[in-house]
Amino acid sequence: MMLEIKMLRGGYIKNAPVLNGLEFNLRSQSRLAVFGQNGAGKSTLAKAIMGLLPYSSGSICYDGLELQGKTPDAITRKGIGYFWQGGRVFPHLSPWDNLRFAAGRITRKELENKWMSICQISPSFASLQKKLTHQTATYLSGGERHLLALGMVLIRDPELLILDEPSAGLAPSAVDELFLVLDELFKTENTTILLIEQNLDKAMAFCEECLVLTNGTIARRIDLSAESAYSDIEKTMFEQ
Amino acid sequence: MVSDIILEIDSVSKSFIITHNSSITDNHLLVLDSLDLIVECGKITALIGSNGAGKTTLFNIVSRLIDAEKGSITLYSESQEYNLFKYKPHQLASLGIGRLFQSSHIFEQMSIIDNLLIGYQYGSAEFPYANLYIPGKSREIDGRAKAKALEILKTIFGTDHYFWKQRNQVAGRLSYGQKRLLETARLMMGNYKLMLLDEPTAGISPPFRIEIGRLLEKMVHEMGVSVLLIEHNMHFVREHADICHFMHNGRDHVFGTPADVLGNEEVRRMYLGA
Repeated sequence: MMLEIKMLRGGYIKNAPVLNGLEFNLRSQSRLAVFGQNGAGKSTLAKAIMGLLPYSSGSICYDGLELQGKTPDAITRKGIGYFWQGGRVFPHLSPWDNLRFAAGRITRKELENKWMSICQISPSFASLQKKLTHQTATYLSGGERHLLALGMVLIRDPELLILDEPSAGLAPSAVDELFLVLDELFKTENTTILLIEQNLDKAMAFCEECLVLTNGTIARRIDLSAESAYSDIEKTMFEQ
Repeated sequence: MVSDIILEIDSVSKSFIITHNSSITDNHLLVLDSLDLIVECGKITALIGSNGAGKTTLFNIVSRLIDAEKGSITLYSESQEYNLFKYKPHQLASLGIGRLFQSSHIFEQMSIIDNLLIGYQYGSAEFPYANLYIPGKSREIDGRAKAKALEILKTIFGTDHYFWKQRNQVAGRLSYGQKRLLETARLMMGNYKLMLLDEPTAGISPPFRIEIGRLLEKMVHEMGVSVLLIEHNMHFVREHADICHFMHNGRDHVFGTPADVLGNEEVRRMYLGA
């Protein structure tokens, strides 16, 4: 099992936990969606895995290694990539400088090679090529900015990719493009994906299973190939 | 002027310089290209288009946060015409224009009720120094503001709603969806005639989307507010908008009812995708 989470409790304010004994496993090379109302604990779960939010009890094991107390940088180096909600980039840096910043201490040649291999995953990344150095990231469209943010995560070669609402704020055609990129990424790199999404249709078409979170616990784990999947998700989300 | 128009955008253009690198000759990005668009009174007008089509730039120009290079924007309100380019951003609220920004602007350390009170318009008609020498004046104004906030919580959301039950608790504890709903409700504290809503449902789970939609309908159909709405959720546009404009390359490319626009072949190809 790649990721094992047991009885996880934690939150932002003492005595007001957002995660209430959350438990689930994630197999290597699988795609798991996480659904739930705003406030259910989806982003909090992602932050806890990434070491951005210390949890009060429970455990998060990644490839058998307990992540409690590890820094976000150490967790990234272990092979977990995190796409922040909103596709965060540094707007006043060029896209290339954003990639350089995300890559850490590697040579220019190594960075160029890594970027070339990312461009081979999908032509969408290659379309960013002509905008890499001559302008700041401010002037990228929303779709391009999300692609750059994804490129910044992929430059560290993650084995597990946590995506926090990658389609929020994107035009429908840009959402289609993003999911095509994710599909290619899964097929070519075998990257394990934990996808937090509000776009149920897209996430259901992409993932094999989903978790529905309510009040910081897993209310249901649903096989997305089941015919009743959509109604089961809606029922669990609306009837809390 | 046609009487049922609240906002008229006439030939507005705007470009940005994307690089100062002198070796790049084509360093201008034309975002709005002689854009013409009208917003009708008492209706929800949706603005759709790809990321980078110029929707938020248009909102920033209407809000006076940035200047247009050419064109004009006229607000028609209470039989008066206002050339918006003569006004500063802080004067727009008193003209009757409110805005919900793309990102959340809630005061996390303040209570729910105090977040609503921030949105109260103390009114340009009030003599600004009155509360300095009329005993009890500021208390009277504060009382009116609080009564309005409580009225909104009670009548719009009801006494069973968490906003009412937790009104004195800090807003930082609310979920993102609840914060977005509170921000939208805060617009009701002002005396706005036109509201600019920038992606109110982005990142919002379906149950909160329904609540925001209900609030929007109340604003328009019960309070007579006009709404210009930027939205990427086509279910929301189809369900709530009266008129839909598809922006492409800085122009109003296609407009009509949401069903017409979303069914348009070009819109499907350029924006909606497969």
